[in-house]
Amino acid sequence: MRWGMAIELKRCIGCYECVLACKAEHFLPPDIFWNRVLIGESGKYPTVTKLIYNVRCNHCADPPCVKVCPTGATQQREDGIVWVDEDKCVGCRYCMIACPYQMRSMYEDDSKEYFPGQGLTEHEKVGRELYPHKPGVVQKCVFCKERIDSGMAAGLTPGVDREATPACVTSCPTKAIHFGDLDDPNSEINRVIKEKHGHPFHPEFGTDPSIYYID
Amino acid sequence: MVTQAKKPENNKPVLGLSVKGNPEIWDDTWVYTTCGGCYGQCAIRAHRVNGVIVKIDGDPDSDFGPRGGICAKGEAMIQAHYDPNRYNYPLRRTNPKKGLFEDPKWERISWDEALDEIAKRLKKIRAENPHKLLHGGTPGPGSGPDLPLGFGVFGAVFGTKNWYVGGAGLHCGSGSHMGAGLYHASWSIVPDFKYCNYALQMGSNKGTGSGHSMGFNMRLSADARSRGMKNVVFDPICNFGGGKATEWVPILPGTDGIVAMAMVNIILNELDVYDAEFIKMKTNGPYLIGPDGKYVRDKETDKPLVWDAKDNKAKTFNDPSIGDYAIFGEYEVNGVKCYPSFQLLKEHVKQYSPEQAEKESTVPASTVRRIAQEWVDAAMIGATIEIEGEKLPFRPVAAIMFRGGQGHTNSAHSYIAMCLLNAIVGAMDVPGGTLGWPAYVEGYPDTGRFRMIPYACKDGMLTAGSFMEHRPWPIEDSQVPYTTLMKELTPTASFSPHPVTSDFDKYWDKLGRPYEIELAMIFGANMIRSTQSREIADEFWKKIPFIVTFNILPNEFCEGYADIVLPDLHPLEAYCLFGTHGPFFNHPIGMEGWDFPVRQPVVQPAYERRNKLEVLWDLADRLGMREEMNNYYNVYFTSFGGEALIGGDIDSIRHLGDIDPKKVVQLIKPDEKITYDEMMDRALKFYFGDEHGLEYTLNNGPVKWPKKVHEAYWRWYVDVRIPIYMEHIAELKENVMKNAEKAGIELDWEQFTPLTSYFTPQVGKEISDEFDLYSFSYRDILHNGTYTMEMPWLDEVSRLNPYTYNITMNAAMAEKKGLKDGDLICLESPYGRKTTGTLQTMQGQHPQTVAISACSGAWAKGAPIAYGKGTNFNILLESDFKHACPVCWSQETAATVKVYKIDHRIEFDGAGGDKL
Repeated sequence: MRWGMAIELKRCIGCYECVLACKAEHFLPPDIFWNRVLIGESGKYPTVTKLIYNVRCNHCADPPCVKVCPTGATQQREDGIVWVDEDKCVGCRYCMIACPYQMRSMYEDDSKEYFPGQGLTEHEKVGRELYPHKPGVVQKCVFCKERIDSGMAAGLTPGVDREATPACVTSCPTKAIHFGDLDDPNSEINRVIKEKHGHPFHPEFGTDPSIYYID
Repeated sequence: MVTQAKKPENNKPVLGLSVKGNPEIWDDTWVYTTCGGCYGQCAIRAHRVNGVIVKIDGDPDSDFGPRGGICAKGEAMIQAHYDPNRYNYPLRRTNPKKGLFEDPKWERISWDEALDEIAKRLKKIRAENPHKLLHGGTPGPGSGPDLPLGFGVFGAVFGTKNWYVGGAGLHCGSGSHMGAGLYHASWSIVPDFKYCNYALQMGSNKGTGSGHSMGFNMRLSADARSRGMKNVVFDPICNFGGGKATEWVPILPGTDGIVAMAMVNIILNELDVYDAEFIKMKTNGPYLIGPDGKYVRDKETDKPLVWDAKDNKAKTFNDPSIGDYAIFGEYEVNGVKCYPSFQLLKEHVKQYSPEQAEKESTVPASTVRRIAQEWVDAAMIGATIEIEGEKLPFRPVAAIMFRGGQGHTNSAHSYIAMCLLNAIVGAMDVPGGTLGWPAYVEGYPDTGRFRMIPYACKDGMLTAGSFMEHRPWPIEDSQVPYTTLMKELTPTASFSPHPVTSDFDKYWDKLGRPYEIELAMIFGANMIRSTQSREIADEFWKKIPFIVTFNILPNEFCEGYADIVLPDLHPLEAYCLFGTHGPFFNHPIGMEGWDFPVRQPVVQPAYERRNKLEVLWDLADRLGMREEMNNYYNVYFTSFGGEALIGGDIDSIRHLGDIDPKKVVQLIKPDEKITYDEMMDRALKFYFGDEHGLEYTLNNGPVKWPKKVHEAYWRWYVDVRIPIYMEHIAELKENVMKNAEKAGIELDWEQFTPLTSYFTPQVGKEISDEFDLYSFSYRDILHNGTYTMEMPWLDEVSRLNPYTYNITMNAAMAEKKGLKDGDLICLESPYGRKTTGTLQTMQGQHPQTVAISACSGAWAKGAPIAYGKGTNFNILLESDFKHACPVCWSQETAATVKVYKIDHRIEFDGAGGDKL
């Protein structure tokens, strides 16, 4: 089993819900993002195309971040998900340098409030109960592993059943993101990648990313 | 009545939520409700965990939205609800001074004190002259039907006609609503994404912006793109609409109309292609026009005459014996020479050459020609399609326009010009073509209720079964202005910038100043930042003796001008009946199902916040108005129940006396003091049956049923016509001019012509060597109105986006002017209005333009996240007749500017917050 994504760039409108769904799902602190929307342009006036790329940790099959982690905090599961054990991470940030996609963030200051100087809201407080973040560690997208694990334990299928599927995938209003098992030749995601000529970004980095893009 | 906490089963993990460790979870509940991120009102499910709202998901089973997805604004609603800066108690202003940057020095008061004071003032006004009350606001994103059901009804029963809403077209457009109402019995138009092959957008962000029906538009347009639908977008900027186009065509603001006219010219006169059957049967193309520009009418019946080419004689337009409608030729009828209006139109458009269009708009003539050819090729005139066993005309092309295209002083004609593109190929409310939001609802199968059928009215023209704000057809007679909005002068106007204009006093003086506005009640709005020209608005609002606002969050208007602020409920803690004013407003198009999402609180309202409808009823009790209001609600609900008793427009409320009381179902007894949720429960049961009350929706989600083909694509199922020749404008002109004189109003009378024409917009007239750039604003998907900048998540991603908080210019033009990325620049209009911001250059922008997304630049001290972020574009606009369309009164939403570097943000001088 190898979890992966395929993102249809034509469908995406750059609404940022993938970014905020993730922030909501994990009660991410201010200025921390586990996925991003990159906006750019291609061409010269008047023949111009707008570029919109939703990017996150690629959960590479050959992840350099795992190799460089001195404490073993950054590790890869059997299903390909790369995650950081925050109890083992010492915040050296070697992984941040090693990642050629620059998809990791250092979380430093747990005193930051969404409404600075006005205390934590009820929402932020419940977040610290449901999904606390340890300061001084590196964090990143985890393909909503908690949702996947609890979903599968209940007999649900990630990529098919909402509750077992990453939040950014289910929240996308244009259904631009597919999620599924790259190891299963018959999976929907493999069909989409094949039919629509999906390709990862920067294959020359040689890390074998698990996220494909469809033009 | 908030959904009870559902505890997760023992030892079972919570599903659909990322949880770390093993925290105690005693509440894991999903609540069906509607989003309040914009006025799309998508059906959602909100996730509440341990009493706190943690997630917003689209309802995966509802067509009323993205089916499981949601946009960022919807997700960020959570933060607005929990914003510590919210208004929680009624407040009274203790600082008597009012102005842009005044500190209100709020004093907390009780509800009784607040309502006693308001009621006392209202009683006095009502006894003297109820028109002294001005009520309204810009479309609050969470308001939904509270607008007409609450404020509209209150004001109408109170007796005032000073209903000021919609920002006079700044947010949408009088031209759009006039035109979509006239041509589609709808509030706006969108391509039939499921079947359309070639969509043309002119100043529209359908599927990529915000506003009514944003949710399903996002979903359906993504499917269409994936399928390979071509989408040509005319837009000065390549950002949202342009950014998802298959072809982006840069164009100068306000010139879309001439491009459309040139295309119509090429199609009719060079390619000689048109859908003859559509023109003959579905338009006033065959109606005979006399030398006075008006219909030649049958002397006995007064019906417009047409020429039957088979029988070779004139007949009334709906004579069943007509063999063939002539759409060409010269005829003599009733002793006058006359022509079918289509003949006149075809001749008239010859003056609009692609070369002329290029000169005015900068769109190359070759592009105009090519797109016109592609249009007719894709239109497939004569083609049919079978859908669910019904054979229908298939016209897979759609031309649509929304705010940008018609937000200029040539608004009405620009919009109609674009509609002509659809009309001449028959692509209106048929598969693949341009669809209005649903105008035809047969009703819930079990009850036959919630019905709305368009029908033919005066002169056989289409009119809506139900509408709002104005009656699209027949238009009213012109009257000498007696409201401060004055739009009764020109009944083709749906919104009016008056009285918040720089020239209002001149006209009101001439009319003898019949009365003054003494009290304003404004809901969910920001009447100083969300509307044009804060300097002009400041002059107006400062003078109003007493202003009451209903708001969730502090904003510039409350702080600067409100005397009493009443704490409103956030959509996440409120009831609201339906997410709609009517299907014509925001229901899913085409064969998407009928769906009636209902809003209910996810959490109990906190502090002393109250539902504004119940507050209005409380006031109504104090004024002895409750019985009348209850009667209105009964009429309103009944009229959707089978007979169009009322048009749904505000004005029809005033004719309650004309309605046969036997036809009205008494859902609410005259003296009953019900709550909002009780009213909702009764209305839902009335429409959908006793088993489908509020409790049903709470547990099961919205009532739904499938749409029928003839509801989705009603055009050929209803015997109605549309005016491709605007005869009613010719009829109207004389009286409008006469009545205008009484008020000393001079409008651009040239535009009162029945033949769609191009007029250079005011912004185009103000271009000079010094003020050489067109500045405009556009909808950003991250924002709606002026309150979204206060939500930290939206603020965060706005700061990451290269354009949202910046001012953009074409890279080459910026270089020419010695400007570069990151410069702090000032935009100054010929009227001395100034606004500033950070420059970001783009390739995807017309060189002669400067663009600002949304309307940021907040200065309210009570909204600290939004303060100083982004730029307020509206500062640059003027507000007067000179800058409004004479026919539909839509505002000129572009301004000419000169651009230069500046050292600080001058428009914040005196704002009192952080130095910027």
